[in-house]
Amino acid sequence: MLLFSCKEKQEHFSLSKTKIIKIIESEKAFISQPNSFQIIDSSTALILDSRTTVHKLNLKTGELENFISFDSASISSVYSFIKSELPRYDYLYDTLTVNNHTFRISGLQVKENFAYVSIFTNFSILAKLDGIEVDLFSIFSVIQKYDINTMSLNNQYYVPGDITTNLSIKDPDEGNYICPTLGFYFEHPRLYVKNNCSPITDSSSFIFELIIADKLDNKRLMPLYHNREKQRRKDMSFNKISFNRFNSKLYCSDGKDIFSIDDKNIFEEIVQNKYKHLKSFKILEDSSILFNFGCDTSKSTSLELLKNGRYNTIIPNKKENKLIYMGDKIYVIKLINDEYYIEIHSY
Amino acid sequence: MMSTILKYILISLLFFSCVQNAEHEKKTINEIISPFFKKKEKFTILLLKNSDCMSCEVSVAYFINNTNKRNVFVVAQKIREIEKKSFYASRPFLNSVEHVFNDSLSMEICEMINFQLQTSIILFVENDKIIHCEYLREYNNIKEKR
Repeated sequence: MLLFSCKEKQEHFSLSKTKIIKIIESEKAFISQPNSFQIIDSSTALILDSRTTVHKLNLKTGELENFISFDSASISSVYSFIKSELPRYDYLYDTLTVNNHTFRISGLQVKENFAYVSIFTNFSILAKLDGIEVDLFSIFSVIQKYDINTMSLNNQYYVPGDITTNLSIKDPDEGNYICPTLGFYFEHPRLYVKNNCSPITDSSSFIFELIIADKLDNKRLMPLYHNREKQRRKDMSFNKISFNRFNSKLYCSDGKDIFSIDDKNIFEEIVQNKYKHLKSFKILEDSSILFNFGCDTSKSTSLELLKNGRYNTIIPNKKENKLIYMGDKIYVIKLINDEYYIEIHSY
Repeated sequence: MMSTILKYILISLLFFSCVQNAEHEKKTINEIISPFFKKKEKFTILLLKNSDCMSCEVSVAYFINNTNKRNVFVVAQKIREIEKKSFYASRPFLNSVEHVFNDSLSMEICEMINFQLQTSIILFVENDKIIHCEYLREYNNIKEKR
């Protein structure tokens, strides 16, 4: 793949806009806050939207339909699954109502004929502190596997929510809790899940390497080594991770930097602004890096190129740009005059 | 000649910016919100970040469920009509509080308190004075302070 022009010393990165397609929304299927994008094939993409819905988008016609819609019925099935996986907890409610839970789909990945989505949810359970029963609003995480062709749920995996390491604070009142599934990457049979942990002080972020069989099994725990000079948010929704395989190595971004999973070395320190972090990245053949960054809750995004230590803006940070995906092509979801469009660029 | 013109332009710009600032400073919180909400002596404004982090959303729901809803004004960000039904469904508390979807109102209040709407913000107002403002994700700290 030739990505750069051939002239010597010229660091020109050319994007050609191949087409822009209006997304045809309906009362049932509409875009609200596009969060993640995955390609199924040349004519179909999945969009994780509003953290409760995965849409299927026809890239030729712009037609949008709901693929996975999370409502009270589907979250109830997650609740039942969690209760069966963790029978040791004392759950406060037999069934869920609007006020006793929150949830969101925190990640999406398409692999072969399956879509994997991570569900990140809070339920009330009973716990005992100093002999007194208290209502805890606890966080749980599952990954659900859907058949893309039939749109049916194929399997559910519980992601471990508590760990003990030698980095943990030895304080029984504090305990260890994890803010689960800030991103995941599946490569059969391995599943990598990024979690933030608190009150572990030495390192607050970990990657679980789990082997998918019938159930997930905690096989390996890899602390991520931060550059401590940079401020990092420990909040559960920040520092989302993204993955990219390049030259047989698996890389992940953790807020500001890109690490190699295997040796944990920092491959590149990218984001200098303490209020912004990497949303996603793609390492190119000449080891330059395409990336987009911003605040998790910001509505706009940009596409940047880091090459030979120099930053180049490829797609400027404009309010109309809502989501950028870097695959074999670059896909930009835009909101122009209250209508959503998808712009497809070739390298 | 050119330098005189430039000086004149600069002085004019400075003058108008001062006038604008002075006018801006004159506005009180009640004046800013009065076109949208009924005047009250003591109330709370929630500047809602529509797409917020999960803990922030939990904080918002927790706050609204544990406060006197009659004294809360919510300023949400503008959304498209097509999205409203699902927006309300995912934030049922909105049905019980006075609220508007207005980006400029939100921005005006943010400017007044010198905050950026990175996550939802809470402001406590008494007798036309903002007595405290904070990102709502720090709500537990607010409870302690109050």
